[in-house]
Amino acid sequence: MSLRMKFLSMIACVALFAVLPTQADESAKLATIMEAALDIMYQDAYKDYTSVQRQDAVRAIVEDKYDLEVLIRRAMARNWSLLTADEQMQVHNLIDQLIVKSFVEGMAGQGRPIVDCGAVIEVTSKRIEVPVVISFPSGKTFNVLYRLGLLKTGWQIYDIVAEDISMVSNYRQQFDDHFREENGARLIEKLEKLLKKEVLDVSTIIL
Amino acid sequence: MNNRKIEFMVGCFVLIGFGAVLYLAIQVGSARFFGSDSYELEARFRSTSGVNAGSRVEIAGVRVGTVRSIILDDDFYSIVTLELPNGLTLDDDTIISVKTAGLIGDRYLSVSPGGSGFPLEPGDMVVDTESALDIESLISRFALGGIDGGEE
Repeated sequence: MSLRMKFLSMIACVALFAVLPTQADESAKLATIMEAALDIMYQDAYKDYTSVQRQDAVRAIVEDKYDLEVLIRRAMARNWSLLTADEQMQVHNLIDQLIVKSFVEGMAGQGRPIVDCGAVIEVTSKRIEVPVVISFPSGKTFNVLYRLGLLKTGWQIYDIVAEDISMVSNYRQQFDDHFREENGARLIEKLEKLLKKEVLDVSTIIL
Repeated sequence: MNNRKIEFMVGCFVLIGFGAVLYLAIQVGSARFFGSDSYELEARFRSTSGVNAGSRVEIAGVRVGTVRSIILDDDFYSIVTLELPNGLTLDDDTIISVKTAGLIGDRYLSVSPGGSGFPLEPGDMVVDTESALDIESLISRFALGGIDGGEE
């Protein structure tokens, strides 16, 4: 192989690896997003922000890198197809707002936690896990596992497992129970009611 | 002639006896001559404490299959082989959880079928699993706090 060919193939390899999302980067990417979201909550630059402004800022950071619809559709599972296109959009928006609101309101009044994202665990070629330890100044420590899948849009979070309890499994069970007796319109009503609650915590989100 | 008739009757009786024993053996052993009416899936767990070969596999509280075997892989994950009926199609976003029947009952596997539209093939591995809740370690954490020694 000529020197020129070797040089061209090397350039091609570098370009390919620059385009392909590498698994190892995902832990750093997740850490960056989590820290950026925490900055909105704790940095002085944002101290005058209202709760709604914080929610908008956090949502913009998260949605810039991750598609929350992947998580929502997985939790809805086959119930997603029971919704009309309009209902799907509404449910998506409402759950999206609920997740961000529960984060912002849940963190209010607490000290800034230390987030330690561990090394990526390769489960299959298209699925990885990132273990994260979240330590609060109060001494409370939570082990959270972020599950990511490789989609056309890159690595997307499809489940969050906190202390061995899967968020998707938990909400899928609730959605299954809901759709055995009720419909999409009623789900939207319930979600809107939840969103209107003044104080929202993750533990209070029961359909 | 009479002896021949008796011998023929005895032969028939012995053949019927063999047939009955064979039928019984097939039924007890659940053997199938023309293909299996079940397929196997694997599931990867952090822990399957309390689950054994023969444990139930349920969907919505209905028994749909059985745990065939459990082995430990090189990364110290528990790999469970499930036997499920051919008529049961599960999608690739299926979640399998280790559950307990009642407070101190038997451990079993609960399957939460997904809806991705991409069915799992026989031999595929389900990696979205929930391990058994370790009550003892939860109690320890609440009673003794974390290793950081902070207030709970």
